[in-house]
Amino acid sequence: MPELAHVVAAVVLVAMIAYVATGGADFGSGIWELFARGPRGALQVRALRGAIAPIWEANHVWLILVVVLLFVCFPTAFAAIMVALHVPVTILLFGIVLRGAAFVFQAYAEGDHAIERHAVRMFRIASTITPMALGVVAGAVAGGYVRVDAATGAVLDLGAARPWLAAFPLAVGLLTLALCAWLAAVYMTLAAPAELREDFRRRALLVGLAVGVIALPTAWLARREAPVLGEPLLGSWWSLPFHALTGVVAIGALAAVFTRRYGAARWLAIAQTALILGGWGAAQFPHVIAPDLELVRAAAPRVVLATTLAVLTVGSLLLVPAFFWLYRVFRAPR
Amino acid sequence: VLCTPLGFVAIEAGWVVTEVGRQPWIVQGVLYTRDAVTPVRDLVVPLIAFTLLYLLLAAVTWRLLRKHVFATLPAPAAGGSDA
Repeated sequence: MPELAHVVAAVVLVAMIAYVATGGADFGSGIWELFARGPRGALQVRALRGAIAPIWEANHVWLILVVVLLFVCFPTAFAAIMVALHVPVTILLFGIVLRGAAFVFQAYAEGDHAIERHAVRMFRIASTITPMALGVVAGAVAGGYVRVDAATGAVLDLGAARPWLAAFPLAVGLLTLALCAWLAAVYMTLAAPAELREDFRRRALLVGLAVGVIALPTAWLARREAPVLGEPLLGSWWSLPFHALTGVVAIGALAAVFTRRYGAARWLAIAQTALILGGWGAAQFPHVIAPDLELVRAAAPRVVLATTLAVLTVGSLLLVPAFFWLYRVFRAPR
Repeated sequence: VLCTPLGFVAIEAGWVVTEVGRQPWIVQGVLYTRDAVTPVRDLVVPLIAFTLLYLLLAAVTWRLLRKHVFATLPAPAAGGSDA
């Protein structure tokens, strides 16, 4: 019988993968609006907005799920992360609020060009900053930058900047940004009208390579700067086959984009995302905040975990089919 | 039309009463507010930042709402009291 805390942690990991694969691509679409230039620039912007308009609010369900599960099931860890990383978390929150507000404002501007222009600029900037902040938070937690008192679970006061303003968390921020842009470009090869496909194919190839180019030094940084993560990530028995698989999937996704097999490229890109996040999860297990706090020790009482899992099971009976139909209706490949 | 905001004022007033009335507890009988507050320093910075954020959002919403209301008003024949 596995520990309930580990089951909840697995759900959190799956929800994070779902968030990056869906909400991350929404951020990516805002990033691509920044680069929508040339004769088809306006068309690209329209295609990008059309692709995310029906779904971007729903995609944030996954982030809410992650936050609520951490808050309810791992309150000590939640408190430590929120206190130690309050600067990037606040930036993340600002980014999410401004991005959502700006998207709605530009859609309802009704010819108010000043508002529309500012809202569009705000949307693009927030779309770039938010995934960076998300990655910085993830990198700081993963890399052991958040320290807690191992005896009491209370967060150690390292100041406002030290737990995240370091090479490794910033590198993870950059990697997250590239990953979001990559996912968005791959999805757009399917969602965009035919005359724009080649544009997004070219972008996907470029940024897909960038993901690999950023991932390698990030892994090197993990080993050097954040051995708490780097050692298990690169030195475990599963490291070599795992990273080989991730590499094969990543190259497969690039090859699929290159040969214009966009349907396969989408699933391979999602698999690549799942493997990257899964590698983090495997390296960090059994800690919720490495190296000080284990999942079991940070967990809420058993009755809370059991109730939460029961509610999740019932809730997913509603949520999963709803999501399935949402994506089915709005993302049917043409 | 002028009475529209009164419902919101009532809701907010009720909320303020529950929050203030519960002090010094944050969870009645379980946890004091002073024990629950975050150890983060310089809380005035996020306070000001979030206040400005919501003022900005409110201002833009107000401007857009006005535009939408004006756009849907019946022809000037209605005349009389607009906002």
